[in-house]
Amino acid sequence: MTSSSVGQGTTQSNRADTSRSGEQQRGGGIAQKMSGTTSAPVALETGQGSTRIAPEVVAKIAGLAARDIPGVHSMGSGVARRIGQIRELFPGGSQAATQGVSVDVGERQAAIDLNLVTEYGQSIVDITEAVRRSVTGQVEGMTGLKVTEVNIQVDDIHVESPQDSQQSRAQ
Amino acid sequence: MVRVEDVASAIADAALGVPGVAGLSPGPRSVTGGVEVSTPYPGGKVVGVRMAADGVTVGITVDRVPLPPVADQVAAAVRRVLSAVGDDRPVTVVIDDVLPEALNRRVA
Repeated sequence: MTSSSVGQGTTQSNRADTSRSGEQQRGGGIAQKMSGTTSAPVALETGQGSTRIAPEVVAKIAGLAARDIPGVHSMGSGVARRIGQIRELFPGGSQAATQGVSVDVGERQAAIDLNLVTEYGQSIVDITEAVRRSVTGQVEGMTGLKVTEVNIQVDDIHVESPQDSQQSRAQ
Repeated sequence: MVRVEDVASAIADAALGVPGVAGLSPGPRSVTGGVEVSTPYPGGKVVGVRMAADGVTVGITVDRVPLPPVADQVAAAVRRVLSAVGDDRPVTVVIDDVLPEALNRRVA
């Protein structure tokens, strides 16, 4: 059993039963990064009941918020992007919104890891700052979770080719 | 809290309001370190204004000569916007192009 934590002060649990404290785990690193999310929903405890937000929800919001920034060409590590491209070949297929997103969701906090491909000629610093602001704002605004950190890895840089500018990019 | 893109838009408006500024420009990459002069935000970007940590860059095209007074006025206008939000970052004005009609509008 691996017990690793990325977020500061976040708790990760793979069990729906959050009352069992103690062994918090992030679980199978690579497989989870590929699928984009952790598995268990979390509870927002209130006096009159609890709210559960699944990690998929946070991952989807984060993915859409990141793609909103011009300069973000696509998301996901090399293998995930290739799978996404294959999915796009099928009618009605599109890249998953959670592609390139992996989240740790606790009871009140979330930590988000992103894999991006940026556009050539744009400042990576500017883009990642804008992504961080957008993701933090949208996740906090829509879920009520506090985003403790947004870790961004730029995996590749996209150079526009003449073909790309002629045909509109499907994203 | 003041959003970066709002400040960038205000700077863009201030620069466009200076006589002699024909438009904003993403800048020549040779001058701007290979980086487009723009401020990305969710859903779009402000082209011609870059809010970097070490300073604000404004890219313009100019329709009159001489150029230095235009650049100085743009820098002053941008500094006014920045000081209004309590920002004292240095301002760099990059002139990307001079329009042909500039030569007909030469002022003494």
